Amino acid sequence: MTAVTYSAKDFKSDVKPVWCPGCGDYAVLSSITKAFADLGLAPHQTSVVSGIGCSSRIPAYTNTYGFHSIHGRALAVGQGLKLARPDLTVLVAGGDGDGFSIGGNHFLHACRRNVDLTYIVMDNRVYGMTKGQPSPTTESDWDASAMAPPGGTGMTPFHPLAIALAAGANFVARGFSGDPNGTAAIIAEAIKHPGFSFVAIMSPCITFREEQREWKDTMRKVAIDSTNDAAQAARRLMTDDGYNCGVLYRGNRVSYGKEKIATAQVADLDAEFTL
Amino acid sequence: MRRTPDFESVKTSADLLSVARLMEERSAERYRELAEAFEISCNLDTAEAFRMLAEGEDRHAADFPALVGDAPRTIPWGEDDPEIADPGAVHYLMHPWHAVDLALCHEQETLALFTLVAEKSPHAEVRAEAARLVERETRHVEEMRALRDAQDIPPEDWEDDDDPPNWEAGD
Ligand SMILES: Cc1ncc(C[n+]2csc(CCOP(=O)(O)OP(=O)(O)O)c2C)c(N)n1
Ligand code: SF4
Ligand SMILES: [Mg+2]
Repeated sequence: MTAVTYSAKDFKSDVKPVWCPGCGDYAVLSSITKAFADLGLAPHQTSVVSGIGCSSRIPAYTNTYGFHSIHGRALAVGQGLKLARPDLTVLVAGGDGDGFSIGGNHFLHACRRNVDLTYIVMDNRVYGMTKGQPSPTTESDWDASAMAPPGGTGMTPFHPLAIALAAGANFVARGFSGDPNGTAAIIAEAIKHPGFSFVAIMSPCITFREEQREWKDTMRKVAIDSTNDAAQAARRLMTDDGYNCGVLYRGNRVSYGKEKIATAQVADLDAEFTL
Repeated sequence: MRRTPDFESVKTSADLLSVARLMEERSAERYRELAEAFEISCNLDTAEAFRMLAEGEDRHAADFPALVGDAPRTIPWGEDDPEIADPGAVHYLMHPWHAVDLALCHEQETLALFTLVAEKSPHAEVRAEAARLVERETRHVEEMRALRDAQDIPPEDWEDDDDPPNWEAGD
């Protein structure tokens, strides 16, 4: 019997994305499906869990197990799923608002808990779905929207890679939707790396941040040198302007839960709740 | 984010034809994806133009002989396979003329790429095949230019939206 292999197309569902024409998230979807195919996975071995936002619509567009969960709570759901079904490849995905505002606390603790899953944040430095409010990664003086305070928020943007590294993520990288093949390779590596892998993917919102179309010229591919020394990675981030792509850090912490995997059967758990 | 073409990895005429066919297939897929995106955002004329372009690319792909063999999983010149439309090059209000103009640019980039392969490949067989592809792509460029010129030219204010998604304070 020959083994069945799946192509990127097999990981796309029949649901047509409702993203704006030109949104970076289309390319991220392609990178994710390509990464699954390149790793030789089958749809029934993979799952995509998200929160709420334009980017978080991604489980509907993938032909995998999926859960379009609650705003900011995707990581809680994804970690639970991985602990209950360690055989599944769990990919959690969402936006900068979802992951760093309302979901910020989950992000910190997911990094330090180090469950073996991959977390992708499609960062467009804005709340796209709700029409253009600033997010934690928005530049402090950005006010080109009626949804932003005049003169901008005045707050220093959050540095997702630095936070992930400081909080204990075991793999930290940045990709760009304009480089779908490079990004697919990073995602594949993130999935293979044990523990919590964080991949920030710069993905332009061409509707509320039209100027992000220029990222095509400003992002630098493979500009980050990889290390497994967290102190060195931290020093590299001191001079990072947010436009360098590549894998920054590959740690060697043991994943959470290896010895804590649930052993009870679902039927037994059900029985406990029977009235 | 340009990558330098990896001339070395394409060693035979069959390799080059597989790559060329994959490029046509990928642009068909990309144009089809754009057609769907424009249908969803209710710009039906532009959706129709992208659908027509996708069908054209299907025909270009079918031109290649079946002997071409297994398609490579990636194109040796990476993400910049020139016929894949750049997502940043589309706008929700664009007209069919813009869609075909975009396709013309991609045909021109493909022509430039094969011209480079015809000059620089270290393999004589690949250089010869690339020279034939240059002739073919030259025809595609001419056909696409004629198709673009047959479209209505968009008005100067095509980008103006009376009800823009991102209204600024004071609008
Ligand atoms: C509990 C809750 N609070 C607020 C919202 C409204 N809401 C929906 S999406 C969103 C922000 C999405 O931004 P981001 O995660 O960056 O995704 P994008 O749309 O930019 O991809 C907000 C605040 C919600 N759905 N649920
Ligand atoms: S609003 Fe922005 S993030 Fe949402 S689909 Fe449109 S371009 Fe993408
Ligand atoms: Mg966002």
